[in-house]
Amino acid sequence: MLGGLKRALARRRLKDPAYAWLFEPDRTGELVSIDCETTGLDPKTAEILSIGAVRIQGRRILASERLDLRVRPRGAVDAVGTRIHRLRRLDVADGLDPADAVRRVLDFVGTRPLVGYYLEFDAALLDRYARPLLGIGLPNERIEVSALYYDWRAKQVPHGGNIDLRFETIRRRLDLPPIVAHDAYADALMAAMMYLRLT
Amino acid sequence: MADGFDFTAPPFDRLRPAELAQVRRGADIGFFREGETPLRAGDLPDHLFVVVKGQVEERAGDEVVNLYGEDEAFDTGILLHAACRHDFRVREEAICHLLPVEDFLELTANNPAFAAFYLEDLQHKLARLEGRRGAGGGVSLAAMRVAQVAADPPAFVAPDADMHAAALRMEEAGQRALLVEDGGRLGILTGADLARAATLRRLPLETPARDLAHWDVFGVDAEAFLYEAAALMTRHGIRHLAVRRRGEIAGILDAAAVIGSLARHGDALGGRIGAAGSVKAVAEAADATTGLVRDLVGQGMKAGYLGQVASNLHAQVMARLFDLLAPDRVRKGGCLLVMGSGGRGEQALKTDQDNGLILDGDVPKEEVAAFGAAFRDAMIEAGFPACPGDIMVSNPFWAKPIDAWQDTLRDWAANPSEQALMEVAILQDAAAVAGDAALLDAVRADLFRTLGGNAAFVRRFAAAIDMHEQPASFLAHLLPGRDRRGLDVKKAGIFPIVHGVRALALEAGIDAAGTEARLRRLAEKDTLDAKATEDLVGAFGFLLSLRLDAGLERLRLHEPLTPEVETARLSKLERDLLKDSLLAVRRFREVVRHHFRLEQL
Repeated sequence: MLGGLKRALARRRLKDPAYAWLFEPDRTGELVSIDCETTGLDPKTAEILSIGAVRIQGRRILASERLDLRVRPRGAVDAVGTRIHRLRRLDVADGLDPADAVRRVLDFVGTRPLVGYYLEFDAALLDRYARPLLGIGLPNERIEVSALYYDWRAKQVPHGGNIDLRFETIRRRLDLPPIVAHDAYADALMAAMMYLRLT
Repeated sequence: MADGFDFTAPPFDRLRPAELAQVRRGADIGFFREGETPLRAGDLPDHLFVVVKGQVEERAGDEVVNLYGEDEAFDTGILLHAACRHDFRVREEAICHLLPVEDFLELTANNPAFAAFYLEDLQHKLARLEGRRGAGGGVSLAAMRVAQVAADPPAFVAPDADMHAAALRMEEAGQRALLVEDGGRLGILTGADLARAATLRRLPLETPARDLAHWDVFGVDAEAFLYEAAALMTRHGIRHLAVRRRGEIAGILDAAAVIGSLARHGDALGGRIGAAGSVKAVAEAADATTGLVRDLVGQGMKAGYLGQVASNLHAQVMARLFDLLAPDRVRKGGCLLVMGSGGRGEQALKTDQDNGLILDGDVPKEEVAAFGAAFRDAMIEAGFPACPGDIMVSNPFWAKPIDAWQDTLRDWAANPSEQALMEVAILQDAAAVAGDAALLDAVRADLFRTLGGNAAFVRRFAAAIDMHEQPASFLAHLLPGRDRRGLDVKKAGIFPIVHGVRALALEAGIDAAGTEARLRRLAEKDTLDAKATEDLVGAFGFLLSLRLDAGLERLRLHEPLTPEVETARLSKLERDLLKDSLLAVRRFREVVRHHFRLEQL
């Protein structure tokens, strides 16, 4: 009810009418798992360096039709972020213009719900990037895999027990095969596998 | 760019970097719940499934005929049949890479090492499923021509038919390739072309077949030899050839149809050896035998037959060199012998020379010595290294008149030293290659009479089966990832079978040279029971094929031949078969020990 209201409000604020279809009900039945690599950990200031996304169709991950973008950051590449994902300024210099990257993401995602690990962070960034273009953030439904995992795990551990929500811990608990790479696409792919294991 | 999974398990480690990138980018990932059946008998699969996690069973009705775990792929039967023959049912929740079938077929067409992995596997599987282990009817060594292979009838599509119409036509014809005729030129349009046009190149569905087809079609005459067709396919990395009969297109030959007998190639090579006019020309022809063996392995021929084909070619090399080099008196009054594995017809690759000579009468020693040295050197030139134990015609002990051989037999009987036992084994395995074979028959008849009838001698002879103890931990070798050093299949399996059978044959007076032939004769005489014989024949064939694979790999890397097999590189099915084989060897050792009461020695 409240969601419907917020949606209607957002729809009115939409700047570019060409994207009105974002508010259509989803008819694909698919989902999109998405992950970003960034220059920092604050969603208000961090810049996106790369975006990886993959569609989930039924029980299948369409890895062959992946989205894997490098994005040109506007500020300096923060040392903390660099240590995490090993992308240097050099690597992203020939990345896409942020506005182009957002358009590519919107086309790829369409009306599909988003899936991710700590999606809140990635989604906040994507919203911030989308706003100049749309006037609003991404209206898509969002599914948090760490929350799905929490519910699943809570049934196994005694009440009040600690549940470790680290990415690697979840992967091991769900008995998923490791992916050697640690980039946006690999993390989006892993989140998609976690989603399918948990549903 | 990001790659996701890295595909490092065999046989994907045999792919070139560009091929690997194609696999990484082209594969989807599927999740399957327990009890699901992602493929059913009769399905035309769109994907090859490579298991990442979980287990999938292959079922013929209620019977589970195979089990697929991590890194194993199904249904590789599509290399031979378009449709699945069995159901594939998930036993334990599974995650699989889904590699498009067209990509898989393209990889197998372009990369023989990759294809060989599945074809070899497939053959063992088929042999196991159809219960004709090792005994091996089926593969005909006869000459095969293109016309004898079932080619698909030619299916045409109009040049202006669009992509969609072409796909429908392909489906209707039940083929993977269509022909396109456009103003006198002939083109071919494959399923892979269509898939690439639609997905990779994103061409509109209205694109006419004319713009999608390849116009560099390779044709082959219906009367051409099959191996020529195979060579064309390999050389140009294509899977389809247009078959012509009297200028008309008679069909399309699919690579899958070519798999099978290419023995004609062997016969042609034999002809070349026989016609060679100099040592150099023989050496050049002999050089091609290793390539032939590699091709035949790639085409899925069994190691047992390969041993016969190759041993036969090696014998032809020796015979031709004998003709070229032997002086008159040796050529007319002598018998050239090949011994050891070559004599038994089990020598698929060129190993150390083991040869000898029986002379009818006295030939001056210098003449024999000169011939022996020349022959040895010519053999080295033809690719057979000198024998470290000096078992060659250049050694007077192995090249002498028949009465001297008979003296040697009596010496062996009187003094059965370890050296003597080894020499008896070598002579027992001898085969006549050139000259008067009656000389060898006479010597061997004497060998069976003098030594085979001597129970004490045969017992000592049989005891050598324990020369190499089977390592108690051999099963541990077979756990995935446990063994990097390799298992010596010769000591652990091949030698005990060969020697145990040889001892039983010596005692029973069986004058056959091959291990399998000896085994069958022993079973006929009820020395061995039929079931154990079949197991042993199967185990022997499998161990030979493992050794051959390892040998070919070493040759590819330009390393010397060694008997070790890296068990870590084997597929699960191969490991299972190896385990079965080594257990059969262990049972056979017991049979031999009991038969000769070796524990009382």
